[in-house]
Amino acid sequence: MKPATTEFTTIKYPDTKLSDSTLLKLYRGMLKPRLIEEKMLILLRQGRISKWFSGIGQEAISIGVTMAMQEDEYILPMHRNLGVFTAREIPLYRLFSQWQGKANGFTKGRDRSFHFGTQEYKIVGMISHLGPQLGVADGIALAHKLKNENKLTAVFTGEGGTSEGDFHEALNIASVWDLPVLFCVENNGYGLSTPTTEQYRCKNIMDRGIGYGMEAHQIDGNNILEVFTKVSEIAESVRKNPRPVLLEFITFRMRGHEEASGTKYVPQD
Amino acid sequence: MNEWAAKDPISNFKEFLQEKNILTEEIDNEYINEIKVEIDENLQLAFEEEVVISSTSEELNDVYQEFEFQHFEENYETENIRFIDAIAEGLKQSMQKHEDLVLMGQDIADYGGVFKITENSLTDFGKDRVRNTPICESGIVATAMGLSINGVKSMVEMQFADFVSSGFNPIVNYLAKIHYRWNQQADVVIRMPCGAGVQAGPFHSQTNEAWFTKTPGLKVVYPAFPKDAKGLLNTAFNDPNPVLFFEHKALYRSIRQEVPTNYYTIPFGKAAFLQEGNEVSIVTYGAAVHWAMEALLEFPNLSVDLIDLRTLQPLDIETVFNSVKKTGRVLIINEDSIFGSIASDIAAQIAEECFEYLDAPIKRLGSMETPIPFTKNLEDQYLPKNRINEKLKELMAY
Ligand SMILES: Cc1ncc(C[n+]2csc(CCOP(=O)(O)OP(=O)(O)O)c2C)c(N)n1
Repeated sequence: MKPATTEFTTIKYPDTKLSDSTLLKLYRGMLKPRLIEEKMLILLRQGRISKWFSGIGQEAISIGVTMAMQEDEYILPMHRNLGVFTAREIPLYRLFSQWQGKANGFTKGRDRSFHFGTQEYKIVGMISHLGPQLGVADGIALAHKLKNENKLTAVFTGEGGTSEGDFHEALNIASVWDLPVLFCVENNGYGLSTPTTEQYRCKNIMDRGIGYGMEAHQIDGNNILEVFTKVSEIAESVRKNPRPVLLEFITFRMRGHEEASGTKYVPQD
Repeated sequence: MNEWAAKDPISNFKEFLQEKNILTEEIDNEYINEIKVEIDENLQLAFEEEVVISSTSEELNDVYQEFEFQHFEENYETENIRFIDAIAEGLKQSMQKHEDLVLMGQDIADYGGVFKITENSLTDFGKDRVRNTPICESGIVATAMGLSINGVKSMVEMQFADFVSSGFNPIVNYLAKIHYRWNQQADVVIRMPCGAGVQAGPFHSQTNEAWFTKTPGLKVVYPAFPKDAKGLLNTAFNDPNPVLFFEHKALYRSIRQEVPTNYYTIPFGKAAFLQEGNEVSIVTYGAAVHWAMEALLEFPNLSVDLIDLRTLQPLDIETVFNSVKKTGRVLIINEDSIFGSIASDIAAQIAEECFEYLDAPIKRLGSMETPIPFTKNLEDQYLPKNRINEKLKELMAY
C-alpha cells in the first residue's frame, strides 16, 4: 500500500534534549494502549466484548499530543485514540466498565465505547457523527479566550472525517476568530474501506491550511519524538499567540475499520 | 501493509531507546508486566461489576439538567412596545444579568441582525460578547456547545428558522443528548425567527418546531405576545438546557402590548388562557393565537376556552385536559401542516385521556401538506387562518 504521502518511509528520530525519564515515559505511554488493545482483541474473539475500533500503529499520535498538552487543557479524541484516555490516567476499570455499559463507566450504560466526556479528565469524547467535535473544540477554545486563559484545545479527526462540511466550518470559524485549537488529522490511509484517493484530491491535507489562512504542519505520526517535540513547540507558541493550527499526522491503520470488517481491501505490500 | 508494519511506532522506538542504552530488556519487561497486571486487575473489577439497573423515572430525569425556576416579578411600570422590542429588551436585560452570555449570529453585530433585534448590542456589550459569525450554522451550534462545556452561556441567532436545517445535526445529536449521556449541560438558546404570512416563499416561512419537539432533550418555546416573549426569553437564558426559542416574524412589528419595563421571568410549561368559557376549547400557539382571536370575533355568543400553549416542551397538557373535560369539544390549531404536528400529538393525547368527556370528534386545523408558496393568494390558501371559522362551525354543529 502506498499512502498518498510517503515522505516518511523509515523512522528517523530527531535529536532532542529530552531527558531519559521523558523518553521512557513516552515509551511506556505507548505501550499501555497497545497492551490494552491486545487484551481487548482476545476478549473480542472470546465474545466477551462486542465491538472494537483499533488504534494499533497510531499510538504515537495520541500519546505525543496528550503529553504535549497541559493537564487542564481539553482534548476531543475520536475512536482510535485510546492513548488519550490512558495518558490522562483514567483508571482502567472505569474505561472497561464504560465499554461494558456499567455504572462505573461515564454514561451509566447509556452510551458505548469512547462516546463520553469527563470534566474531571478534561476529555470530551465523540458522538458517533464524524465532524461536530471540531466545532465543539472551537467553542471550548473561544471560552478560554474570553476568560483570558492561555489554554489550547486539541481535537482529532481521521482523514475521512475531513470530508464532512463540519471540518470546513470549524476550521473557518477558528481562523476568523483566531481560536487556539490544534486540529489533529490522523491520516491513516483509509476511511472504513475508502482509500484517500477516493476521499480527497488535494495532495496533502495539510495544504488545506492555505485555504483557511491557517498555519499547517505535516508530521510523521509514527515517530513519537517528532510528534511530541513538534506538538510541544507548537502548543507553547499557540498558548502565547492564540491561533488555530492544522496538523496532519501521516500514519497507517494496521487493523480493520472495526474488528468485524477486516483489511482485505488493503494490499499486502 | 508490510511496509507500515516495519514502521511500528512502538517497536522502532524501543529499538532506538535500546541503542541509546536508555531502555533495557529488563525495564521493558517490567513495564509490560506492570501494565498487564494493571489491566488484569481492572478487568476483573469491571467484570465483577453488576449490570446497570435503572428506573424509568431515573432515565427520564437525566434527559434534562435540573432547573429550578426563579420567579422575578413584573413591576407596574409598563411600556407599549412591539413584539420585536420585547425580544430586544429581554435580550439586553439577560445580557446584563448574565455577564458571560455571548451572542452569536450572522450579521448581528454592527448590522444589528436582519431584523435589527441586536441593533445596539455591539455598543452596549462589545464585540467579544456580540459576535458576527461566518455563514456556518452547524459549526456555530457546535461552538455554542463547546462554550457550554467550558462554562460559558451563549445564544445563537438563526437568521431564519428555516436555515436551522444546516445546523440540525449538532442540535438534535449533540446538544439534545449530552446531558443524558454524560451529565454535561448544553447551556444554549437558539433563537428562531420563523413563520409564514409574509410572502417569503418556501425557505423563509417555515415553522419547524415539530422537528425539535420530536427530540428528547430540547426545550421549545413559542410565544404569541410581547409580554410573554420577554419573560420567556429571560427564563430561557436562566435555564441551563438547550432551548429553541421561536419568534414569529409576522408578529414582530404587528403586535403591541403593555410590557413591564423591568427584568421578569415567566415559567416554562404553563399555558395561558386568553378567554374562558364552557362550550368549546381552542388550543393553539404562535401566530395562530391571533388568527383564532380574530376568527372568534364572528362568534360573539360562543363561550370559549382559548388556550395559548406558550411552550411546547415542556407542554402544559394538564391545562388542555382540564379544559376539554369541561367543554367536551376541542379544536387544535397550528400553523404547521398537520401530519406529525403539535396539533396531531395533542389530539392523540386528548383522545387517550379525555375520550369519555368528548361530545364531538377532536378537530385539528393546520396548513396544507405542501411547501409554503410565495404569492399572497397562494399563501393565504395554504395557511389555516381562513378556515378557522368553517372548522369551528363544523365542530359546534356536531
Ligand atoms: C456522519 C457520519 N457518517 C458516517 C459514519 C460512519 N463511519 C464511522 S467511522 C468511518 C470512517 C472514518 O474514517 P476516518 O475519518 O479516516 O477515520 P478512521 O476510522 O480511519 O480512523 C465512517 C464512514 C459516521 N460515524 N458519521
